[in-house]
Amino acid sequence: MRKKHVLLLLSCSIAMLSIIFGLYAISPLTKEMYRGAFNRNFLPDGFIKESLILKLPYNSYYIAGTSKQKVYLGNWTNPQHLVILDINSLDSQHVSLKIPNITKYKSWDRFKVKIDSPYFYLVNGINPAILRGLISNGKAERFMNDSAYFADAVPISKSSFALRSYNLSEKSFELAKETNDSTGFRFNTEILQKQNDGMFCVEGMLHYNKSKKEIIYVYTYRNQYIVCDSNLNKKYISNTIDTFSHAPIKTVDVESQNSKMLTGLPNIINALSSVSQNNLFIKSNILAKNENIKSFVEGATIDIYDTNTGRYKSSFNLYNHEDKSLLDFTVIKNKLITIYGDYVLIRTIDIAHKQNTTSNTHIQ
Amino acid sequence: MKNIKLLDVVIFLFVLLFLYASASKLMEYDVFQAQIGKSPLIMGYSKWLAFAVPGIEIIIAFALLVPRLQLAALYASFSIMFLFSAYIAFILLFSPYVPCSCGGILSKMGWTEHLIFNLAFTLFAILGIHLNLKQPEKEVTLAI
Repeated sequence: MRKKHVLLLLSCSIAMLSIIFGLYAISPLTKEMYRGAFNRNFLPDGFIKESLILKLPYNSYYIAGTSKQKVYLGNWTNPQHLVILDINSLDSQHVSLKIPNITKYKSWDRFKVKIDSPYFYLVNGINPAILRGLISNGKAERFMNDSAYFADAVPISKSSFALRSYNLSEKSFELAKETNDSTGFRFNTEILQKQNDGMFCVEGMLHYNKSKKEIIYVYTYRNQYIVCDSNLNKKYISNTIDTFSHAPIKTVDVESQNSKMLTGLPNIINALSSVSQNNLFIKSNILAKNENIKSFVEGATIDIYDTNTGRYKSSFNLYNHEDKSLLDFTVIKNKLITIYGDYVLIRTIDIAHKQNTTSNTHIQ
Repeated sequence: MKNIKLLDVVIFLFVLLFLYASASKLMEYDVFQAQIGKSPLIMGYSKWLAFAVPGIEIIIAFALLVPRLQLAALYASFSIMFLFSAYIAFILLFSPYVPCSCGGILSKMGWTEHLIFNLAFTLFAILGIHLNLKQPEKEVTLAI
């Protein structure tokens, strides 16, 4: 090939590379990370006392629930796989759950495990079906009137559930209670407040706090959480410490697929949450004014709220493990259980901590 | 039987690729546009890119079949495949998250496979240019 053509190829390459670098220079990637206009009250070192590490056989586990001494792990790729870990010794036990005729359920690979010792539940909002069994023998079966579709379901008692379901007249997701008696399925449309599209804008995490008989909902895309009693009556709404009161999301309707898609930059405010006794723990994706960027980006910042008063208490930062980010976490008594990739870390925390400094500290 | 030259194979592959890719993007125009809207690099231009990318692919596909325009079209093919490869490499290396904006059967490939696929076609374009330049000059008969 003659020299002129080689030069032409090189010029084309350089021109294309300039386009990519030019796009990069004006893209949001080069902008400084957003900092909220609020300060975090960081706990001093000594909040976390020690850690135990266990390597799991897969990186597809989630936390299905806890009981007095144990944490239960479900698996995204196999709904019949349950791992039970002792929170003190990290001894592990594998239980095979059995769903009879599993393939006759719609989206049977989407069954999710929920624990309320001594029972385990398998919930599938698409079929829909709610199955129950004893953890000791693993056999699951249908046991109640479970004909309502749902996006999430959390057991309140042996025969009642809190659900997040789509309400056709409100055109949005709402919370509901489903019981195995004459009341059956009942929406309470006063709890979730639609802001724009009714689906993504009210997205959130549903919890049941057995010790206080409270249903707690934490919004994913706005700075709020709601506390209700076990009958889904609203007790109070409280704000998280960031300032995003309106879900900063953009959605797009995709006619050809009859679906709605989230578009634009990722904008999760509250990423993960867990309730234990009178504490609500929320992993926040918003950087605080007085926070160290490095520990924020290379770890997880968790804010603690007092569910008796609805007030923010303090925060702490957890470093990622082996460069894997935090996938799931839960707190039971003085144990903080976290999943990073295929590792489980159980840290003992000083739950009756004394709050003092406002300077940033991070915990290994 | 007519001799099928290697150049013809290369041209055929490119025409097939561009027509398939542009058709699948245009048939699901709204999906493609929404997916581009998630890319941190090009989200600001999603509306017109959703037109422009398949549009340019179709133009190049037709130009490849016109002998006078074939060389220019091969350079354009090289440029566009190089651009797509650079885009994927950039997203894989520098983006904090990976958006998806792919077409048809190509969306079954992972991002790394897609990068290799695009680099392969970038090399085919260079091969095409070389073969096009190697073609014997048309014979000119002089009527004396």
